[in-house]
Amino acid sequence: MMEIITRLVFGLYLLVILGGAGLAVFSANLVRAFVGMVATLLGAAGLYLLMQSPFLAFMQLLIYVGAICVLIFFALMLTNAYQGGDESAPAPLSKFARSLLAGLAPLVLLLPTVLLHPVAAKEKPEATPLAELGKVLLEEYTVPFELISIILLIAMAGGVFLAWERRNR
Amino acid sequence: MERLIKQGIDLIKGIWSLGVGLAVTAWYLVNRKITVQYPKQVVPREASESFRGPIELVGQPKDPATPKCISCMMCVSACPSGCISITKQKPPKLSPEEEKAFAEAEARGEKPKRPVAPRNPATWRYNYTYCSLCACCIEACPVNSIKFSNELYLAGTSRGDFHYDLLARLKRKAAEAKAAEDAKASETKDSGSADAAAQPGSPNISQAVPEKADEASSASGQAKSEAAL
Amino acid sequence: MNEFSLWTVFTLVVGLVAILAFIAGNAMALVWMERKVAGFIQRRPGPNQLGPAGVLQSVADAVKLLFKQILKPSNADSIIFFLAPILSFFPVALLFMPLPFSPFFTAYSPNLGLLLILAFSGINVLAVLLAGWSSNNKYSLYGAARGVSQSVAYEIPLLLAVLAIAFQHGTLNLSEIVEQQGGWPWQWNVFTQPLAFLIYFISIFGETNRSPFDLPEAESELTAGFHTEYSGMGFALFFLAEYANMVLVCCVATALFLGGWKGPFLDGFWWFLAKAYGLLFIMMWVRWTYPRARFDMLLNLNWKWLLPLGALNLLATAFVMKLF
Repeated sequence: MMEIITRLVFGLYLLVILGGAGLAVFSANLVRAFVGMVATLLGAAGLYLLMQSPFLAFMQLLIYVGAICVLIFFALMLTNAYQGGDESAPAPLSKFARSLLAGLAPLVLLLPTVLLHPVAAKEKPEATPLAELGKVLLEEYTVPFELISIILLIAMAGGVFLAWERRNR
Repeated sequence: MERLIKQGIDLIKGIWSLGVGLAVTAWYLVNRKITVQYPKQVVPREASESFRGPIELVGQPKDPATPKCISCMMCVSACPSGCISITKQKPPKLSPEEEKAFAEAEARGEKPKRPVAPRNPATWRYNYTYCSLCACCIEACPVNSIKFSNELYLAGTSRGDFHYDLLARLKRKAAEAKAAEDAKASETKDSGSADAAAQPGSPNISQAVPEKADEASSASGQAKSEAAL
Repeated sequence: MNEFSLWTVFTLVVGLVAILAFIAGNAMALVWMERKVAGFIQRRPGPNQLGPAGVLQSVADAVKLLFKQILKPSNADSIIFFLAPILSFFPVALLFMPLPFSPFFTAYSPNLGLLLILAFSGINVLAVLLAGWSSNNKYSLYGAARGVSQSVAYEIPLLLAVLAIAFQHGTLNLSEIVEQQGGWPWQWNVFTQPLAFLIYFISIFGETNRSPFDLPEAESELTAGFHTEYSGMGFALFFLAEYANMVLVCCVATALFLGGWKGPFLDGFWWFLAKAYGLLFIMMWVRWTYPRARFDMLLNLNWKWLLPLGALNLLATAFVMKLF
């Protein structure tokens, strides 16, 4: 019984993710594409829930849907593309090729790692206590964790720097 | 450093002012309500006295039922919206004998005094639907026969309700004032000292209610009768 | 989920239905209360015609909204236009689930209850954005832009304040946080974390777009902000979501800072409701006292005061927790 429900829910999440991704890529309207992206992120959050990690799911919602998407949309909102403007013209083939390359890049970079160091699948998902997660991040993976913070810090400083330049001009 | 201290003082002052604001509204919150709930209550007379409602005529001091108006038509020409219409009274009709007597006198070369038309207007119509309450007529009137009424609660169900016959209104007002005076005189005769609270125009709102409500209903009745005129 | 059982499903469903009823009832009660408070503060009686003291006024309003025609501006993006109000209301029901009204009246008590509330309340911002953009109206767009820059900004001090409490109790479960507080006021978290409470309380005005931070809906400048073009039930859903969010932030404040359902005597959900409504009353009192803040003031207050104070408070909390 539970198995069937789980499979159904998994299928639903998959549909949401794929449908959202399709909408995001193929929609001519930027905002609709954006809605598709939000749907994809929501679906991913659902998958995390299914994998017994509500913490990650909520973080996905809080950070990706609640903050990053909102900021992306904020930028989108200020660009008001007309229905018959230049933007609606079909893009040249070279653009398609480059986009495809960019899309495939993570796959190419991540696939070897996943294939070389496969993680054994579990019969049933197990919840990881929050404390353990914190320990792993801050004890085992301290250096990558701090490196990521440094990257974020640099990005933030860069943003402030750019905005500063603008204002002074 | 000095700037920092100043900013700190400003901050504390600002926070204090927020508290003061909250205290003011909290005081209002628990305090007596001061708005007047119209159909159940009306504002007391002295509050409506300064209200400038539709214009009305001013009676002569000795004969309050007759307006001071001399039918000079100044207000009619001053009104930018053309909402005043006045007709003058015609000179009294002479009987054929009198007419003959006058004709004979004139034939004799005398200058008899023919009776002239009274200066009072025959009709004084006022269309409040067009009026913008600009007071041009009041400024123009050479005998101060027009003033603003303090009619606060005007309501009507048709456009005709606001076409006033101000002569009729003046007559009715004079009659009312006279009746009130008579009643007051008899009352003082009867009981010697009238109850102060029963005086019209007492500041208490609830006291003013029945009296004012009557007036409002009589006002609408008057409007209807005028529309019929 | 390993504790997943029929009983859980049952409580979830009953909780959801009860919560939806609670939201609708609360919204009506709050609208009436808001009007009464506004009236009393302005020294007038407020609604007083329909029912005793006008309590049925909100019912009449709800019926009116139900029967109004739903209009869509021409050139508006129809799908997103109608998606936005739904998106604004749908997470609200979920948000009330982890609230501990009493030990018994808790629909769902996950270990990450606080996080769930914070995560799903972000969706409301998205709905505001979509509504503003899809209305094809400049006022709506400005309202949405303001709403978002404000909500995103005020979420940070709010998170910092909440985090300080979570730090202190070592859990994100609202029920446990209430459990660890006592019944008397000096056992509440507001006593140990007054600064966090202040920051939280100021931030929720910005989060819920309430006056004096109601710039996204500033009537005098933007007509009605992001919901200018919505009529009938579309508007009603935004309205309901707004009031539900108000109740939510006050309920969370009650659980986090004011001891939840615990009182000096007779513990129960009445304490929870009384405290939450007390906070709601203060929100209304503030709304009808202060004029609207200018936008730069709003953001300056957030970035220059609340954020550093919140960070300092969090640091101090961490320090004290480590020390003792």
